[in-house]
Amino acid sequence: MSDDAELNTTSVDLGGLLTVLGANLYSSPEVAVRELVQNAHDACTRRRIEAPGAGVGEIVIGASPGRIWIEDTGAGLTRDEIKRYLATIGAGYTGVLRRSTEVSALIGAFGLGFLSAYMVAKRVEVVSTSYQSPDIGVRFVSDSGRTYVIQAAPARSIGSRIDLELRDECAHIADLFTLERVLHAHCRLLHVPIRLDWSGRVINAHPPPWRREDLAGAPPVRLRRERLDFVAQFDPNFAPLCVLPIARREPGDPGEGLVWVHDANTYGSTDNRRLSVFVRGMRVAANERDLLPAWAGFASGLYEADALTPTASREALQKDEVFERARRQIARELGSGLAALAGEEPDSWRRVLRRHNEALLGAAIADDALFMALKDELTLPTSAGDLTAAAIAARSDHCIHVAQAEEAGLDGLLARTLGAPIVDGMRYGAFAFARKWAQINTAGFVQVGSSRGLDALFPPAAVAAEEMALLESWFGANARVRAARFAPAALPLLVVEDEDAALKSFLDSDEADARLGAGALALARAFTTKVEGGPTRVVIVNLESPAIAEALRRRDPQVAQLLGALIDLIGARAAKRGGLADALTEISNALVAILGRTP
Amino acid sequence: MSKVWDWVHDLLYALDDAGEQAVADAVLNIGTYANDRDYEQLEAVYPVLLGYARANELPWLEVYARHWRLQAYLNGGQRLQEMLPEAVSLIARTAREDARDCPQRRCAVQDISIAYAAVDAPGYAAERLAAVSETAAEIDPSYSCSGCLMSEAVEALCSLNRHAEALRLGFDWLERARAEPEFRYTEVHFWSTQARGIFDAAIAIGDLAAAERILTRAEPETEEDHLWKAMAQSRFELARGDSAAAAEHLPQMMEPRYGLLRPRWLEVATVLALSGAIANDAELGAQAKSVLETAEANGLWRHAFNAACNGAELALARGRPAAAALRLQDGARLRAHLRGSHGADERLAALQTRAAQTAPAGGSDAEAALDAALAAGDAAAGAIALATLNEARERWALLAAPA
Repeated sequence: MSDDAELNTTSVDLGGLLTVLGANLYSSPEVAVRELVQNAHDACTRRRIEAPGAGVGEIVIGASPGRIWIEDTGAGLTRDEIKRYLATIGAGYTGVLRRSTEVSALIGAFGLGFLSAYMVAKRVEVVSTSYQSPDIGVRFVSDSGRTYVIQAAPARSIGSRIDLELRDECAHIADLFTLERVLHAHCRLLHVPIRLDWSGRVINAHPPPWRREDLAGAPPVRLRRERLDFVAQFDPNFAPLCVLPIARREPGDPGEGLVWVHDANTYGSTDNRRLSVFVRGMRVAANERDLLPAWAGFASGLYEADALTPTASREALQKDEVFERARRQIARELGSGLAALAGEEPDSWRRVLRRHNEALLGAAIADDALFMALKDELTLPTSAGDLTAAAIAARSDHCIHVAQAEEAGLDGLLARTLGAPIVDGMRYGAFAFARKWAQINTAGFVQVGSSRGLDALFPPAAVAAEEMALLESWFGANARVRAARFAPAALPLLVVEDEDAALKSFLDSDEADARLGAGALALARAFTTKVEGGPTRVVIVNLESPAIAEALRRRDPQVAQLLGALIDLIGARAAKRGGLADALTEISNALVAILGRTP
Repeated sequence: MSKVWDWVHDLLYALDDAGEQAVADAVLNIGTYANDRDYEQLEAVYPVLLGYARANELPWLEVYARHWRLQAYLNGGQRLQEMLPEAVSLIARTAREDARDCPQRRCAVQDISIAYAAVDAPGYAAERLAAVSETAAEIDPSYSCSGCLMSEAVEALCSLNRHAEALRLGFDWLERARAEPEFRYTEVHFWSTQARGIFDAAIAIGDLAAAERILTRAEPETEEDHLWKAMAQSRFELARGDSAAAAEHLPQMMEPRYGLLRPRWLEVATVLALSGAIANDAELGAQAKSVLETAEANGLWRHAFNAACNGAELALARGRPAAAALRLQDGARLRAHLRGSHGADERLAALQTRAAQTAPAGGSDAEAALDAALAAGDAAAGAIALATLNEARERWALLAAPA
């Protein structure tokens, strides 16, 4: 070190630091109540650890206009502890105790909780008597946290009481309704009884079902009722359709809880997920929706897991490996719970289906077990109304036709002609659900209106070379010709688009040259060079058609021309191609030619 | 940098006003589903968007929906046989009159570049570089798609073994982007995702300071991000010459939905196994086969070929020429799908020569049987061989135990 070097201590502007921490660490002043209740709770836990036999303890909360107070029967603080822990930011005793005892009921970790008192109060007073010196009282008073006074006080019963004289802008916290709401939301699962001084009500009198030993082995009906009751108390404004347990069934499952299905109509992509997460009994996240699967837009829940790590503000969770395990556990439990519901609660199940059919289509494609439970229960939107996949397949020769466009082309028209219900593949989840159902049930799956669908609907049929040559001479001027056999026989032929050939044709056009860069075009053409070029239309000739058979027998091109023009005319695509006038002209010409012939 | 997405925000307001909340939700969520590789939810909402776009003649929305769907499958290395034609079709769609001004037309160039990189990165590297460079030249870094195009150009340069140039391009772009005030909104994305190619370039030329800079700044958000970072950390340690630390950071082989990470995992695992940092056993050989199979099933031809070669290399190092021969057969079959050799022929020939010269190693019959069964993908025979091997090990443990 050089001669002019000097060792200095970094100065801290405590007032500024308090302002910054207070304004940025917590989202709202109401959080201060939670933090102070948590301190009281930890004091009770500490007493239980360090002075066994003292009982569970109690926390009482009171309020009057502009003031709130929190009193506990915890361990209390000595004068020295007040200096070391209460008056030193970031040096809480709870974290020390938790690390040395590994007691999971202790909540605090960072020594920042007491800081929140200064966020909301212009004056903070603590009176305390420690179990270590039950005959001595101590009083701590601070205005805004920058300076404080400690003095002796008359001994009181063991424990502490904190009084907050609220800042004007935070006075609303003392409103009894607000205070009860805040306490109810955050402290509902704490272990130490929390009593409201003004009503005598203990807000956490009823522990959650997963903690109740008296429910072990209880009949399913009672379990269901207890869960419903608990959820109703947890959120009295909400009536769930059903409540499912989140249980620890596999090693590594981090927590337990409940998840419930909303009694409200949804569409498929509605996302009303809400999940309250509790760590060591304290709510640390009001809406950790990412812990619920993306498909569960119809569900809410509450989840308790002490292994989850809250952020410093304890208003969110760290997205670590435990979080991932929790996410997987909740998804598994929700999926299996819904799957079991059909057998265990048929009435609830019917209501769930009625409310959330579309959303469940999406859920089922994401969860195999759920899919197996739902595959014959959910309905798909079809051209013949809402039908189960099984009902659709039964009406379509064990095949499901799905259209992904309103204009499904002539093949779609054909399917309708045949009476096959066509699934509206543009609706949420319908396409993927129908495809999965077909795969699992080894049923046919046809995408009407696509080249891929053509192969399934119209497999090429054997035809004599001479007849094929005739068909090509009649219909192959601007199209590829395929001979096939299909019902109804009254339909002589279809005209459809070959997507790959159309793509190649466009990419080879001047339009594409003008609008795409040379590099991008080269990449695109690297694919289309492998595609067979030529006409972009495919004419599918129906060998079952008596008209076609007659045309082939008579080798009559005019009959064929007439048939082709008629089909083009009724084809849904004719108008789009501007071919209506052309088709009428061709029909007229063909009729004139046929009528003008010598018999 | 939001100018590319302004029209989406306008569309959301319009959908909201029109009471089309389901469509609005789908517009809002499809990108998240794509980035999370949540294929099931993606397939649930995609038809909603596509159908709405076509029914209401909203070509920009069609391009938007198709682009996000492609992103999910291409970046996840899934279903390339289907997605490559779709990427070609989408770029053609953006050239139509009604979509020519769609801001996402540049995304379609990125999509087709990623598609060909997934299929055969070195085989199409020159075309990829040309395509993304000409598109990037149309815009400045104030466009958010500029970063995506830069990252594709960097990866194409890496495929061409022009790593120093790739590194320079990446960091030059970063300097220019930093001058844009709105870069702060996308900087996390840059370090976590777009800088991955720059990391590859830095590792390739041994610029460990640059690699460490990226590693330090990368903030994983998705599971895939976490896996990438763990592997990057492993590769970084390997480049530093610390095989033990590299082995420690190497994650377990990931599930098939992370199709592009698995071949990279196998590359690192192979180097570590050959250096003795991790076990080169029959199970690793089976993992090589699994990587090969999923890559082949998804049309990732170059990755599948490389996995076959890695599997052969591992088998040879274990002294199992029969298992190596199976992988080399796979390699020869997959070679037919590659566009040009780019070192493939030489690697295959060298391994074939070594296989012909390698004598089977010693070890128990059960060990050889297990290796052969796993190399051939015969699960039943593998289970029997493993049971036999474990029995033999127990017997030896009993015999070796002090009385």
